[in-house]
This record gives sequence, C-alpha cells and structure tokens, in this order.
Amino acid sequence: MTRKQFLLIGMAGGVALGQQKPAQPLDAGSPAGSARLKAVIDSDPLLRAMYEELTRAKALRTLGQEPYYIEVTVDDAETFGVSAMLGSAFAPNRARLRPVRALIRVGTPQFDNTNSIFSDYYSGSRFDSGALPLDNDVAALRHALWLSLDRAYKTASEAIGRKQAAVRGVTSNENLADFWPSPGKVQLDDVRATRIDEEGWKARVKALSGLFLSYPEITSSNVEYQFSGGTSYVLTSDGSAVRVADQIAMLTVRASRQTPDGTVVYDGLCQASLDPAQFPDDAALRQSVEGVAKNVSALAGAPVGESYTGPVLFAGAASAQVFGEVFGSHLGVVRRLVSEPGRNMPMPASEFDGRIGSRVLPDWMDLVDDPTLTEYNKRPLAGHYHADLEGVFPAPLTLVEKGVLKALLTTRQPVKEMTASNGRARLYSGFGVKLARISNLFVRAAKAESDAQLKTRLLDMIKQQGKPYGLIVRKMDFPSAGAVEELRRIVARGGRSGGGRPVSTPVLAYKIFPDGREELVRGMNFRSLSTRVFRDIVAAGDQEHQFNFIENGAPLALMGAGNFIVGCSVVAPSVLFEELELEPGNEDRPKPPVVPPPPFGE
Amino acid sequence: MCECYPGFVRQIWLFFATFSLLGQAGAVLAAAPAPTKSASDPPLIDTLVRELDRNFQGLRSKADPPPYYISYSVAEEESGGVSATLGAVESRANSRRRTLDCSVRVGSPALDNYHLLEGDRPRVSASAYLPVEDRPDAIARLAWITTDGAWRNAAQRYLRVKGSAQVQARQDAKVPDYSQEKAVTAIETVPRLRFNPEEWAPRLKRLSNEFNQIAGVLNSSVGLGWRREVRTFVSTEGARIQHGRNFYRITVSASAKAYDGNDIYTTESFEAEDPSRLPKDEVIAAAVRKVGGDLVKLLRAQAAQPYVGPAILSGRASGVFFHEIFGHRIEGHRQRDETEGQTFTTSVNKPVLPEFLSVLFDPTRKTLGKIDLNGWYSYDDQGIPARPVPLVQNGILKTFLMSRTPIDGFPNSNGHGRAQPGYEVVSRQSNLIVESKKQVTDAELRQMLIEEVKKQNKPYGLFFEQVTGGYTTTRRQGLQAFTVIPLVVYRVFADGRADELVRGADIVGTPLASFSRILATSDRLEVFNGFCGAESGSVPVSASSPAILVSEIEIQRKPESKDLGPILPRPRMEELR
Repeated sequence: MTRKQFLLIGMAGGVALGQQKPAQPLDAGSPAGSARLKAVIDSDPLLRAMYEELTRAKALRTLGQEPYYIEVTVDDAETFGVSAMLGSAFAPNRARLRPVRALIRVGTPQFDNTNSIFSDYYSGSRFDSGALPLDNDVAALRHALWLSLDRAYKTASEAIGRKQAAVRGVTSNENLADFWPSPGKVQLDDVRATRIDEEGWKARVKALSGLFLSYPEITSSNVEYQFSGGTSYVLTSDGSAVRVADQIAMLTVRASRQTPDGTVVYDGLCQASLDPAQFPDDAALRQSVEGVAKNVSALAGAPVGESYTGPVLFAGAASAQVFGEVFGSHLGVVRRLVSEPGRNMPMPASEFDGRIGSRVLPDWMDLVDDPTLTEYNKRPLAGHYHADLEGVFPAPLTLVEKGVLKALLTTRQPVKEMTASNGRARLYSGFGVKLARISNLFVRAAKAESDAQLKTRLLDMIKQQGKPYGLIVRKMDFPSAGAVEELRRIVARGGRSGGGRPVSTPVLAYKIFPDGREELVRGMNFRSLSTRVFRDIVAAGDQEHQFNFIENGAPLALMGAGNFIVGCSVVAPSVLFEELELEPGNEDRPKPPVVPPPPFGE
Repeated sequence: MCECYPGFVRQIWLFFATFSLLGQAGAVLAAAPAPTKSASDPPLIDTLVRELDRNFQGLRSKADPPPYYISYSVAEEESGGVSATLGAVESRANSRRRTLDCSVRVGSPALDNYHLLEGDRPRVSASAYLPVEDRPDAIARLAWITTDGAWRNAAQRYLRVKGSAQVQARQDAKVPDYSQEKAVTAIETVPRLRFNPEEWAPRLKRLSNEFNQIAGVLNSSVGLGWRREVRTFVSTEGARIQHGRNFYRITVSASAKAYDGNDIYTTESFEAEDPSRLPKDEVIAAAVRKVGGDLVKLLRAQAAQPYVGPAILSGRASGVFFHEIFGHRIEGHRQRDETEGQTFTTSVNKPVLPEFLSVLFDPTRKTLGKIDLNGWYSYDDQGIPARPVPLVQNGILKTFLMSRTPIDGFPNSNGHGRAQPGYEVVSRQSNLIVESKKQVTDAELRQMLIEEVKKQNKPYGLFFEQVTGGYTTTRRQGLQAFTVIPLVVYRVFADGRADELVRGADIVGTPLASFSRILATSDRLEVFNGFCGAESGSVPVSASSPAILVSEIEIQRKPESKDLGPILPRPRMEELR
C-alpha cells in the first residue's frame, strides 16, 4: 500500500525542448568556457553555492587522504501526478524538491574508494538531509552543501580503508582501474520553467479512466499522468559544469480482470514524452486506452496456449520492445564489486561481458545508440539527453556492426574491453554505482522484407517443420503493467528455468495457421529470451516501428517502480526468430471472488 | 525520496516489542489541503453502506466460513508542512489521501479469526487507497476488492486458529474474542479552518534565521506541520460514524556534534487544534533562543556519569515516564497475551502507585489550561465513543485501557481501540493525566530534593528538564524495562553551587521499583504532546503530569557516536568573494 510520492528524472542533461537552443558544450578551462561559468555563477545562486562549496571541499584532508575528484549533482525539480479510476480522481500530488548528491573520490584513479560494497556506507552520524533548501539563499544552500560534501568525504575515507583491507590477500583476475578520465565540458543553458496544466490533466485523466465504465467485466483499472521537470546541475572538479532543462511526462494505463479459471489477465501502456507539449492528442490517447481495455477483454476470452518450440515473428512494436528489454540491460556491463573475502556478492552478469568482436546479431543487422537525436521521422524520441549523470556528453555510438558487437555502453567506471566513458551513465544503482543504459536505440537491417513476405516466410517455415501453427507476438509486457505479485511469479519462473534474469511475457500472442487464420492465445511465457537467440534472427521487416518507454532500473522496468527514471526509445523493424520456446504458466491461481463485482451506475 | 523532519530520524523503533513516544515524530506527515468536497459528505457513507451490505449478504450466503461482522474505516488525511532553515525555506510538502481499511470477522464473537495465538499479531484486515471524489463506481469497486482480500485473510487465519493446539486445549475459552457493544450513529463536521501556509513561510524564515547566530549548529529548523483528518466508520452492526479533527504543530529543533563525537539535539514544539491558537512570534522566537541556548550549553557540558540517586522529573519528563512505564503496561490486549510481561494483570483493586497518585486517561478532553491536548478523539477506531477512564484511583488500579478485545473480568471496550490507517486496532493510550494529592510548589520540591541528596549522602541530585521521548519493552522475552531519553539534565548540588548541565544520559529502570520511589509532586501540570508508535502504528497522544520527586533513579550513558564533526569550518559568506 505504498505510493511513490516523488518522481525524479534522471538526466544530468535532459532536453531543452521549447527552451533557448542549447549551445555546443565548451571546453572547461577555455576562455569561452571560463567566461560562461563565471557569468552564470554570478547570476545563479544555486550554481554559485555549488561552485563555492566544491572549491572549498578540495581542501578536505585527514590522515593524508585528499580528494582527487569531486562531483555534485542537484535536480531542481517540480513534480505533479494525478491518477483516476472509473472517472474519479485520486488526490493529485505535487512536490518541489532539490535532491543533491555529492561524490568524493580519494586515492588515485587506479585505486580509489569506489567499486566496492563499502563505497556508499558511512558509519557516523548524518547531518545532511539529501536535499537542498528551496529558496535561492546562497548561505543556506552552502550550509547544506557543506554538510553533504563533508559526509561524502568521510564516506570515501572510510570506504577506501575497508576496500584496502578487503583486497589484501585476494588475487583478482580483473586488473581494472577505478575511474576513467573524461575532458571537462561546460554547458550552461538558460532554462525556463515549464508550466504544468494541472487542471487540464486532471480532467483528461478522469475522462480517460471513465472509458473503462464501458467494460464492467474489467475489475481493476487506473490511468495516471505524471510530470517531472526542472533544471539539472552537474559540477565536477575536473571542470565540467552542466545546467540544462530536464523534464519528462508520462501517461500510464493499466487494467486487469480475473478469468473464471483464476488467471489474472492484464494489459497496460506507458506513453512517455520529453516534451509535455508533444504529448499525443486526446483522440489518440482515448484510442490507446480503449486498446488496453479491448486487449484485456479479448485475452479473457482467449484460450490458454500450449507449449511451443518453433519460429516466432515479433511484429510491430513488439520487436522494438524485445530489443529494448534484452539489449537495453545487457549492453551496459556491470562490474563485480570488491567485497569482503568469502562474501560473494551476486551481481547480475551481462551476457555481453567479454564478447566484443563476437557475432551477436545476423551479419546484415546493425545497432546504433544515439542520444543526440530529439526526433526520428518527425516523431519525438524519449531517449535524448545532453550530458549524463557524470557530466559526460555522449555522441552517437555504433554498438553492433554487421552483426558483430563493437562497443558497450559505458560510464566512467572502467570495464573490460572498453577504454573510456561514452556518456551513458543514466541510472543510479546500489553501492554508489551508476548504470549505463540505452538512449535512442536504432536497430537497422540491410536485408528487409515486407510484412506480407515475413508472414509467408513464417508459414513456409512451419510447413517445412511440419508444425500445425506458428506464433506471432504483437505486444510484449515491457515495461511490465503487471501487479507486483505477477512480477514475483515471473522472477521465480526465471530462476527455475535457470535463465537468471526475468523475461517479460507476451501480452498479445497469436497462433497463425497455414491458411493464414490467426487466433489469440493467453498465458504463454518464454522459457528464456537471452541475447543468444538474436543471432538466429532469420528476417526483418521493411517498416520501422518506434517504441518509447520509461526505464527505472526495476526488473522488467515495472511501470510505476523506482523513484529515478529515464526515457528511452527503440526504433526497430519486425523480426522473425528461427526458434523460440514458449510454455503456459502452471502456477496456482486464486479462486475468483465469492461476491460478484458491484454494478456501475448511481 | 522521503522528506523527514530532523526529529523523525530520532524515532526509535524496535520491532513489535517496543513502543516509543516521541515528541517530534510526525511533525510533518506530508499531505494537501485542496478546496474539494470532504469525506464528511454523506455520499461516501451511502456508497460504503451499500457495498458493506451487498458484500455481507453475498458472503453470508455463499462463503465458507461466512463472516459475522464486517467494518469499513475510511481515513481522509490532508496534511502538509513548511520548514525553514537559516533564513531560507527548506521544504514544502502537501499531500492528501483517503485510505480504506476493511475488517472481516468469521466464526463467532466467542472465537474468531482475530483470536490471539501466542505472540502472534497478525494483520488480517485489508486496505486500499480510495479516490477523493465521491462518485460511487470506483469506491464501490475498491471496497469490493478489499473486502474480498480481507475475507480471504480472515478465512485462512480462522482455520489456523481453530486448528491451533492452544485453542484445542481450551486454555482461554472463557474470554470471547469480540465484545458486544451498542452501534452508534453520529455525523460530526470537521471544520475546515482558515489557514494559509504561505503566510507562515516568511515568519518561519525570520525565526529560523536566529540559528545563524549560534556557533556549532549543524542542523536547525523551524517548521509548521498541519493535518486535517476525517474518519468514517460503518459496520454490519449498524455503526455510521463520521468525525475527525485538525492538528497544527510548530517544531523548533537544532542539532550539533560535541568535541568528543556526541550528537546533541534540542527541540521545542507547540501544538494546537486551531492555527489561531498557535503561539505568537515572540513566543516562538523565545523557543528558538532556548533551543539554540540549550544546544550551546550542551556542547560545553560534561558527559553524564552513571548515577543512582534522587531526582526531579519535570512535568513533561514525568508525563513521558508514566506513558512508558505505566501506560503501555495497562493496555488491555497485553493482559491476555502470554508472551507479554503482564506486570499489572493481576493487580486490579490492588495498589500499584503511591496512594497520593491517580491516573486518568481522558480522550474527551481537548485542553488542559491553555494547552491543546494531542490525544483527544470523539470515537475510537472501532466506533466506540470516547470516555474518561479513571485507571488508577488513590494508587489502586481499577481497570485497563480497552478495545473491543475483552479480557478476563473486563468484557467491554472503554473507547481506547486505536490504529493508524493501514494497521490493526489494539488498545492504546489517549490523554494521560497524572493527578496528585501530595502537591508542593516547585521551590519546595527542589528543597525536598536537596534534603534527599543530603540524607542519602550523594554529591548531587538530578533535574530532568526536557525529554524527547522514550521507549519500553513489555514482552516477557525482553527485559521488563523502559528508557526515557532526556535532552536537558542538570546536576543539583546540596551545597548551594549553581546547577550544572550534563549531557548524554538515559533514564533506565524497571516499572514496579520506580513507582514505589515517588515521594511528592509539584502543584503545576505540564503537558507533553506527541505521537506514540506501537503495533497499531502511530497515534496522537499526550501525557500530563506535575513534576515528581523520586528518591532513586538510575541513569546510564547514551550509546554514543564517536565520529568527527565537519572537517571544514562552516561556510562564511565573505570567503571566495
């Protein structure tokens, strides 16, 4: 029974849509860069307070440990959210907040206080609150920053000591440094506040949620709008200074009902946009909500699918979803943290760890991640940002070329086979680690066929293999709209099948028979959906489908989870997999309620 | 991210077996006054009653085991806070929510799914958030789903209860699980008071600016928190109740680190039911100076040494003392739980306190002198009207604080079944008032302390001026002990030397021993307003008492942190300019 109260958006450099056009970042220390920094410090009390306290923190010293790197990030944010059920609104929530994070590194880039399980832990008393005062009062802001930096320094000193003790007597086969250098850059935009149309959105959300009144058999439904916007700041001791507009809006729809056999069928969607003004219009939103309601109704009447091994066509956005889910998490390699001897930290390993130079897709496919684009084919993208959480400015990056893995998404945390940050630190994780995530991921196929040809090819394959039917997936449950219990089942299933990471389930899966007839089936799960199966994609479509989503670091990017989120986009053609395995779930299901639902209408 | 008031961090929460009383917790419970229709509109009751009846009938006819009782309790809370530090607004919070708790009882009042099995305090009810708009469709759907969940929990638990060895052995068959009470119908309007937090922001900023003058302060704030709460209760017995109240609270607090690593914290607060009754700025400014002054004095004070000897507890300190060592032990449900210490279970009609003392719990009392009491309500969370309960008369224990869970010899509730929304109801305290027939003036009480110091041949006695709260353990497994956490403690010397402030002391002791040592009281009641946390969540309470003189009290040193204060000096604006 908890509801998230605040939503933080996660980019040091979101978008400047509707703002003054941002300049190219300037080099730190260059005459232009220094002049711009000085001018903004003189006019912006928050940046001034950050600058003055960061400068002072360079003098922090005890027992000879001195900071070699200092980083302060602040989100000056405003959030608004409102949700409704069956035409009635829950109380809207709004908040104004200034979360601050301070990081200090002691030691050397080769060996410092980070990348260990001790890195984010301080045993002493904490006097900083994790947020800055809301008024632009330099004295009060500096006081709070002083306490934040003091604790960051003490945390660092304590962590490096424990880490040194832990590595003594342990041989490591990963001889990696702790911090990659990155050139300091200055981008200080003039940011205007975005107006939130609170009443307008409340009315819209109520009206959209009221559409479910036409579907009385749907027992649970909810429509929610959330906006978070403001200014993001990053200041580092190597000269990076970032102040950029940072905002995101999203509409989440969820609906579910229980079938007579006890299974809960559900569907949902999450529309995300970096510019609230570019949100789809009311007619389009109504259509999306109706789509969810119709899907749930159709699923309730659909038969449960049987075990299946064979070709599967991911049509339309389902292909973009599956690329986003599988490649989105595996392309950022997570490093093993220094732990206490004998205490092994289970870290989710990436399947791409150590795989650079290997074939991961068919040789006619490429993958490119490009955070610099704000739109594609005149459609807004959700993964655009200027600078990442470490103040690093990203560039377009070819990840897979002709099927071969060329690069991974990196932060300033050194990983094997890569040499520098490519500015993809987008999410915060435990132990002070930042996670690399995709931005706008483009899946490109040099060999493309029309949708009709793809279907024909699928039918040819099942005929050759003597199968009664093939499978087409048109929608995946990613980000997941399931209830937490549903997610728990999926995670347990992932554990049982040995796959490790949970895999989302297909929402709309259709049997396609040799005569072209299609039949919706429900309750199917993938046995596994690892990166390996992508090598055996046999064909791709000639239409590109765009899918925008919210990444929050939770399993299956569960809708509504996490309090720090980033937008992502995937553009991909439909793809046909040579062979995938699916099976129906066999978990125990609760009996339907004894009392029927109350009828609608006053 | 969770915005917490400094005081909140101090909350001591030991799992289940421990109860804490805190003056600061809950200062701001984050929530939003919006000019929409309130829960006090009858449409909510209509929707709830319709769904209650429909579900009750449906489950009675088709479910196995069928329910014999269902209740819905809806709490609509609007709350918020503004807080300032060092002359700047630090945080603003606003929130509003409506929570539904559904309780289903299956079996019979003699034995039902709430039957207490040894040491087990299950959560059987189910909860949901409701829309704040009164259209019936969504509320009815959510009530239906929640009732289904609560019935499933109830049925499952009932089967477990019936199958348990304890029940089968019929050890406790003579006491039923649910009392018979008369259902009440009462609709009270909760006033929506004129209040603009933004008018307070500049005042709080100005007041908080005082801390800029005080060296050594690390954290400081002057904050205003408010809450309006409307509770709606309907049951299949026919109860239809709506009632509620407003809360306003100003909290002043400051913290620092002493040279030896000790964390130091001082605080003052003011509570009122109506913002017009909040103190004027001069009074708050004086509190700010007191909090700052005490902090500075504590920074220089010596650390307390373990000590046993005579002491005076100020009225507020004594209130917390009674709340912890006495109040938590006379909560009715603890008398039927074998895992509880049951200090007073067999003490009814026997002396438990010196004969000059009486203890009253009175939730109907809204004020004491000029001070608003935090622990009042008109109906408890099982729909039972609040009433004064004289618990101890002239030292003799008369009864216990009762919810609808009967105990041997006490078959009925006395209106003390309380819970925070989302928790199961148990018996809890309200406004505790200590009454004394052995009153002397403050000056005389001090003189009596000095005489006691001389008589016992001690170097000094102690005066506990201010406390932040305390906690106690009532379970058998734990030590039957309590701790009261003083903030400001003085050594009082017999030879006429000035009082000396000490820091880092906790009062410790065991309940029965402590009561026998009360020698006299002052003639002036003081009020400690706070929030008490226990197994049914956090509930507003107060404890009022005259100062008491005890012949012997024990203090221990606080668990201390030893880390350094900030390494760099506090920023000064002239630097770098």
